[in-house]
Amino acid sequence: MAEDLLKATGLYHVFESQAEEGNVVALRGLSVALRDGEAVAVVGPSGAGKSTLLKALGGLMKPSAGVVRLAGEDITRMAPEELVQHRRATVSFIFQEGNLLPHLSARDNVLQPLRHASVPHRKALARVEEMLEYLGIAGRAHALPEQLSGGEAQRTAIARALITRPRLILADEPTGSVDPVTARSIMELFTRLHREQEVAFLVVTHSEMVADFADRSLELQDGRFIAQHGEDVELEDLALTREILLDAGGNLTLTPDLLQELGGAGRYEVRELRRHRLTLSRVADERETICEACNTPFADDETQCANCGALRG
Amino acid sequence: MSRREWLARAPSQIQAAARELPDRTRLALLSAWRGRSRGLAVFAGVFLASLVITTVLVYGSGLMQIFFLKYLDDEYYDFRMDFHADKGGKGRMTDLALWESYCDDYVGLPEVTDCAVVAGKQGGHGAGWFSEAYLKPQPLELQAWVGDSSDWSNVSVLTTIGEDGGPPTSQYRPVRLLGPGAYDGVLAQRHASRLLGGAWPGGGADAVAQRDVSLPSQVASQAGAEVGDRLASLTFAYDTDASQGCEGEEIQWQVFSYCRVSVTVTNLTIGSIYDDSIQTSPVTSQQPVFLPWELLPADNRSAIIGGDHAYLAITIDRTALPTESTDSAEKELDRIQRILDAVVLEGETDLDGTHVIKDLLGWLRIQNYFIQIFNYIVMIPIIVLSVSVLLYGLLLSLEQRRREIAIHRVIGGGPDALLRMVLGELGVLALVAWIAGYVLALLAVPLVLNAVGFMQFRPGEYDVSPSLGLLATLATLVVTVGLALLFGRSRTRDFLEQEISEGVQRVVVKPQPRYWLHWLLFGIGLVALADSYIQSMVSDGRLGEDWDRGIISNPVLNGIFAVLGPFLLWIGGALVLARLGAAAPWLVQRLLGGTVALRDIGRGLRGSGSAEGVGKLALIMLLTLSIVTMAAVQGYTGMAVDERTASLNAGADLKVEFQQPVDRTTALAAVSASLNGTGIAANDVRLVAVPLVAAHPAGDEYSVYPTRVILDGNRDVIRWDRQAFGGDPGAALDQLAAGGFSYGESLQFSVGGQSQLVLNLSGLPGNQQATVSNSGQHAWHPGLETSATTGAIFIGEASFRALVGDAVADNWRDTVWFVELGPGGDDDVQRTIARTLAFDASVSQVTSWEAEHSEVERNGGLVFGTLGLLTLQFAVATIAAVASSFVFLSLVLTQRKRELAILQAIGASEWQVGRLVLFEIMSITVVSMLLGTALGVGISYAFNGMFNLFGLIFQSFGGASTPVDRTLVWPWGELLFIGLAVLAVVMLALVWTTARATRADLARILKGE
Repeated sequence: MAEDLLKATGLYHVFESQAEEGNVVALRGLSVALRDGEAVAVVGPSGAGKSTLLKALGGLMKPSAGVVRLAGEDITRMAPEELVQHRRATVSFIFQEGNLLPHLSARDNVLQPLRHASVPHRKALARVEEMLEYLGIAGRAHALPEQLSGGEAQRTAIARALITRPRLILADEPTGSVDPVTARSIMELFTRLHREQEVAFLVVTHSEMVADFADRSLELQDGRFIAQHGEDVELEDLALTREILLDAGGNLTLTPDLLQELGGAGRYEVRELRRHRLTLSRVADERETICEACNTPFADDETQCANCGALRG
Repeated sequence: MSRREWLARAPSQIQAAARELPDRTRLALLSAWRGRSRGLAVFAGVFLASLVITTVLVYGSGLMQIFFLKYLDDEYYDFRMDFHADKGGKGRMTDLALWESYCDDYVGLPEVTDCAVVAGKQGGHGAGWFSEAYLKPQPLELQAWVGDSSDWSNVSVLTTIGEDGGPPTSQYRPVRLLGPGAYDGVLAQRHASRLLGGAWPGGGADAVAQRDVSLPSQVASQAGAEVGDRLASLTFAYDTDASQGCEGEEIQWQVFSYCRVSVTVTNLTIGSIYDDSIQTSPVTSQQPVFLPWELLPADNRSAIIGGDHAYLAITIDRTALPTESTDSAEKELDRIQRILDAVVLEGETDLDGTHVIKDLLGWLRIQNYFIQIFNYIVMIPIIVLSVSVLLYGLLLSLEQRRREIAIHRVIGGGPDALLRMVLGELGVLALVAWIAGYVLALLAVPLVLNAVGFMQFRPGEYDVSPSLGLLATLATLVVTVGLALLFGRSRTRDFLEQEISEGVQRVVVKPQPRYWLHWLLFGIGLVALADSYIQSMVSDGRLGEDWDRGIISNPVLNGIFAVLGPFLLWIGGALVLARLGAAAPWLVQRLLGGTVALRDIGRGLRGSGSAEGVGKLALIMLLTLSIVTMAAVQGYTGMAVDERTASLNAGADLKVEFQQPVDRTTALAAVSASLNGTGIAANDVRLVAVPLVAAHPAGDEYSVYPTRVILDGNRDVIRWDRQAFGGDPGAALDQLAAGGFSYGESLQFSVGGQSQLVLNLSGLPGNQQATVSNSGQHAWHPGLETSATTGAIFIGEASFRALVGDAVADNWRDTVWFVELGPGGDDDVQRTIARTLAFDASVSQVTSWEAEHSEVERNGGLVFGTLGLLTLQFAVATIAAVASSFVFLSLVLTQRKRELAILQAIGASEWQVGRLVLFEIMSITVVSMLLGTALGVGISYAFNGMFNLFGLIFQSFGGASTPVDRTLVWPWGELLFIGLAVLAVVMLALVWTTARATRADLARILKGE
């Protein structure tokens, strides 16, 4: 079996903070793998750590712990200049706002990554013209970002991401700031790239359309992947398509609805363990008899306080 | 990478870099232009630094050129050809015909415009300084003259010229003999241009036929001689080569012995009188009596050649000398000198060329270095200001590029590439700014050189076109652009490191500013200020002489404090006070928070002082306004010092010195006779003398005090000054008139403690007495030598009359009379009357206040042109205040664009946002300006110590000292005007930038685009 294009294992990232609440843990032992030519969507609530994950996977940020292997190389141990070289050769980024350089024309924006890569100017220019043509924005090549429409700006950003011929595109809400029509055309473009050029995608999104484009979707919560969804992901109700993930480290994270259904956090005993099957049962004396919040007694099968709604521990 | 690998790859890398250069340059230019608003502060910083540094450098070169031209103008000759060897040495001759023919050899050279045989010099040989023979050549000394129609017996043949310095010169007035070449061509023009009366002969033959003699004006004045008068005879002495046997008198001077022979020329006619106030090189005999060479018999002329008196005077085309620097002019003179030296003369005569003013140049250079050091020190604040603007501008512009740099990193930009990119853009900006500053400096320098006062210029006096040499130009480029790139490099590196480490360490701990250091600097500066202030109080008479040395009595420490203190006060004060300036919005909110104007925006104001850009704005405003204040105060003070010095020297509109003591009527008649055509009526003219008598305390005949009498009319004529009595001169003069006396500094111990003196006239019979009461100390009397008043007492007219009686007082005769010309006595009138009076036989010297003032403005005051530099400093600081407020406002508002957009998004109206910004920025600006002005007042006092220190150095150079103190002048009106102008511009900038900020696309700003 071919090696994964991107493989992260045991990623932790802690943001130091002097706030009263202390440091913020953004990633908690997260692991993920992506094959060449595969398109994966990352879904999850705000603050789940999606952007941090994208930065860590793309080498824009060094995680506090863990390993990220990109195209077979451990990028967490690379020297800054080596990392920049490796990134240039493998990965590109697309953001919600396009993030074009405001003082450069569309053409110069697309040309810039090749300048950084020291591609000879003439050769670079020919590639840029071709790319602008491919994306249908050749007529706007000399416009400054502020003169471009949202769609044009995002196409320019995509052109800039593609110009280095990356094997992987990391995209953060690529259609988040454009209208639905433009969003559709962008996704068509992504699909074309994915199919024709076998570019791999890891896309952070809240959009059904984007998630549909992916071969699979990973559900991120509290800095860890907790579930995976197939092509038919239902963002409105993730429970409908969710497959819970048990990672290589043996970690299993339940979504709040499952936890609530289960009866909250506590001690469980393994009732049944067979290949591909695990049955847990709550230890009897662990169950709370009185709601700690309002002192109302729980009925035997209640998982939530009938009086105040607090979850039963 | 190993060294070998690196070397192997280098050529291809260089090739690649060269290939990419056009595109990278285009990009740098494009980014610099499109991002010009964020680069404005950097531009302003480099521009100001380039302007100031180049100005001071070019100014130095211009100053040297002016000195050079001035001295060049004063000299009649450009080169002197002397025998190389001493008397009797090799290459000498006495063949008159041959000697007189040599000029033809030199005039044939294209560089030479004129040549004449001349005799009469003082020292000097081609062998140069430091040779024993250098001092040997003696002047042709005047021994006697006999008038034809008038009596010349009292006209001295001695002179005081040369007593003040220079090589040891003879005390006899010199004679200079001029060959026919001096009566035509360029030499004739140069002589004719200096004549006050008469005409220069129209050729050598004319000069001989007329038996022409040209006299210095002082001699003519002493003799009462006029053009056309005759001299029966004139006798002077020359030396002969004693080794051939002496026919005259053998004399010994220093270690040399001479054979001196006298010669008399008879029946001379005074053809012209020349202006002898212009000093020439001491090596050529100064202010001589000019006689035609050919009036002397051939034998005498040959003997004079042999006696080391004769030389060939050569002129060149001075307009062909390079004017861009003294060095290049000197090089050209050296080149011509080599050509002159290379001329082969008949008879194996060996002559060496000497450039007449070359010796002076060395001395001028030393003086110029001191002036430049002082000027650099004076300009340091502006350079610091420029660097601050540059530094803070750089930081703010990098802040604005945070997002852009993040994007570059995302699309594959490595740290080195990003650093190169930022520096490329910075380099383009800095280079353009440097060129702009450099060009403006070249244009500004002639103006600075023409300055005769603060913001006052007198153009056209000197025509110099100073420029900088290639090395100096490169030096300014390296210092300014290099500094920008150096700062840019270090700041960008820090910034990139911080950006790249973001994520690993979210909390970036910013180093806390070293407030203790700010306070320490401020504290030391305050001590220096107190020291300077105490000394100024002493000089004003507000504090006793016990405090004369201030609070730092050690002279070395005092000197260090005088030079460093002002800078510490300035920088420390600005850093400390800027915090107060930045907190102004908070203060305004506290004071006016409840009013209608601020009720709805109070909360917005409360936190605004914390923004970094705001703190920088406050600091820059403080720095600039304090310099504006200091430059204005020191500038106006310099002008006041100039006026005081003129008053001290001239005393009144005119100071007329007569040959003999004359009474008031005679003096008035002499002055009245020179009023023709000036529009001044004799009735308007007032005269006063300051009688000097010797008096002693009754019963103590041995303590004789020189006693100066302040006559009742004195105050109407004399230009009194506060410093003369250390306070209001009117009150002091009233006290003298009412029977008081004042004493000079050196009489403090003998009479200072006595409340009353009973005075008797010394050396005269009679027992007339005057009782005078002590009315304090005086410093000086305008128009009188300070040395004559520090040991004297002043009394009023009543006391004087009591001593000498009315008859003597009414008919007092004096040699010095001060004249007040009335309302019409302006500059031209004073000069005209002075010129006319100078021809009066009874008058020996006339000083006019305006002429004295012009002279002081040009050469005195503190130092030549410093007021021009202060004007430049004032102008640059004012422009910097305006420009930096504009630039920083723009940067601050860009920084806060998002905050303002959020306020608008949550319902604040444009008017409310506008008001918020207006109150915030205006409060910071106004408070910072007020604090800046206050700081400026402080540094003006503190800088005064340094100005005094350098003043002393320059005075010691000039060999003079002045009792005039630099009492500060406060031009509040001008400062208020500048303050209002800066505020007006800030308002305009504010309205413009705020309108831009509030009308921007909210959605875009909030999205972070």
